[in-house]
Amino acid sequence: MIASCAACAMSIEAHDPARISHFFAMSLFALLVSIALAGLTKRTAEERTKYAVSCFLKFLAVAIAIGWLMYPFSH
Amino acid sequence: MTETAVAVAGPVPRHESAARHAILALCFAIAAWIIPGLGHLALKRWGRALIFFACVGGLAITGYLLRGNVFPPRLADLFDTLGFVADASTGIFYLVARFFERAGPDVSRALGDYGTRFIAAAGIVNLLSVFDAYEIALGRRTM
Repeated sequence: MIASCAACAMSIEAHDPARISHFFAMSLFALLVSIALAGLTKRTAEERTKYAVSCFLKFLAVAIAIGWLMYPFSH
Repeated sequence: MTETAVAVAGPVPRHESAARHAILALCFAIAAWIIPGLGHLALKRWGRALIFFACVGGLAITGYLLRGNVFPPRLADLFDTLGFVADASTGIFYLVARFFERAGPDVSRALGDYGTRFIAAAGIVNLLSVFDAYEIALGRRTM
């Protein structure tokens, strides 16, 4: 998955830098950091999966909430 | 140590054994820094080794492909120094930055700036893995 994301990013960089969305970049960041934190703090695969999914969803929720909070300042 | 060796050399003093243990733990930490996950691999924590290698590598390489800024060892000011420490913490991935980022950084676009954060985050994640490997090697962490 990481390799395909990297290949995707590479082709995007080479041809059309605007094709990768900010949301995709943020989601990828959230996913990788969530997996790393889950690996660091939890022991079993089940605990890790639960923690990674929960952490990833919280990352997204907080990012979207902050995005909406900043929305009025963009006008 | 065999019984004969103990009889000849005597028991190893506790402080000497602890010092040897600490040096060994430091070796695991250095291995974890140079190649993300290697310290855990040496400690037979396969899962963590794979997770750290994939996550640090994924973050760092994505950051390079987004043309994030890679801080050279210039240490001109505090921001440069912190940036260099974070980037250099990715270990071997810091050395391959030039390979992935042939055109150099481009922080004029938002994605280039995101790339800088990806690379720094990769370094921070690897620093956490270094401390984790050190703690496991010292026996302070059982998980």
